[in-house]
Amino acid sequence: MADAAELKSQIKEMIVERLFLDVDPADITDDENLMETHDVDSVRLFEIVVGLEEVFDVSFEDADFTVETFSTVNSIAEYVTSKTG
Amino acid sequence: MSPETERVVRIPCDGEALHGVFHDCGYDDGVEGREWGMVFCDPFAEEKKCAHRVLVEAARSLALANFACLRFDYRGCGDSPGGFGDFGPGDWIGDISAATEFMREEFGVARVGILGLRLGATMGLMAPQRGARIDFAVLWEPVIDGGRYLNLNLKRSLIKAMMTDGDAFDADAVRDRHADETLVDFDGYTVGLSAREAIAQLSLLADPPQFAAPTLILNLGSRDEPARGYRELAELMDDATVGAVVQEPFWNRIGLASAEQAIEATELWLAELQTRTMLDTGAAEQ
Repeated sequence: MADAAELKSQIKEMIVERLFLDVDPADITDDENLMETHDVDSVRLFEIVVGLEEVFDVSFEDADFTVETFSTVNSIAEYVTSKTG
Repeated sequence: MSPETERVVRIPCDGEALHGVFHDCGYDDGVEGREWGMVFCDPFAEEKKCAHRVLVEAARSLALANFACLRFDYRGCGDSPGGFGDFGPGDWIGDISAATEFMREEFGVARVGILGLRLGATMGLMAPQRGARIDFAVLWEPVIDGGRYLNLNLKRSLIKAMMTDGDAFDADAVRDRHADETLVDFDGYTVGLSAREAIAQLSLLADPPQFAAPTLILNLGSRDEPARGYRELAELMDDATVGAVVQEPFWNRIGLASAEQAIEATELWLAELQTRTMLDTGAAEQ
């Protein structure tokens, strides 16, 4: 399992790639609100969920679907760690 | 619609008439020369709606490249007769078969292929098992595993509800709508339980289709290399090429209507197929 910084870096790269964002992954801060900053709507969030499942081999349960889980890179990393750690 | 090259057609199928649009490749009626043609196999439900414009553009581009194209609506979909929940994959595979025969009989197309997207690509690949004569196939991001496809559909519904319902979001209620005993909510479309079960049973890797014709499997996504499932599928087929195009998933987008890279890759492969066919024909005649 990657350390916390490496995990967040991987998450940022996955988000930029999956959402075809024209930003450097390193420019995404750990605590910025993804939905506000990068217009993450339900369609884009679906891409993030599929990306997380494929890249980190996690599987989302019904109870995992909360807005807070996907708000920031920090919250996503926390979720992935809870599933894989 | 260009009245000179595109026309609405009615495709006979099981006593009904499917709605279709024929994109001529530029030859007049009755003139020998429609050598190559393609039947478009649409995706399912919301993906069909999102992909509509891109598939129109693809048909127009291919027609300019001298491939006559036939787009049509499955029974219960679009402008075709019947209710959405009354049909399922077995019926729609039959519709694909009817459309390919229509291309040959009505328009005299000698070599009929398919261009399928998502679930449409999967069903097109299975059509020969129902008697369809398909000479080549282009599969855009085919659904490999019906169970995973349904599972992702449930997740899509959960995300939509989570984003729109706020504090009233009830994951159990969403899941219940996906597992009703008779009808199933498929991303806002109500489908019959039997159709859902038929989709769940689709598995191109566990039960590979008997499809020997030249095939292009095109991975459309954020990576420029094919997913492992597509590589494995190609290995299970007799004459399949697998490729990848960096392309936003337009079948999941509303308002994004460009698939230039996918169309370009398709036309390149088709040109190579034409050359190969010409060489094979020439060699056979000598």
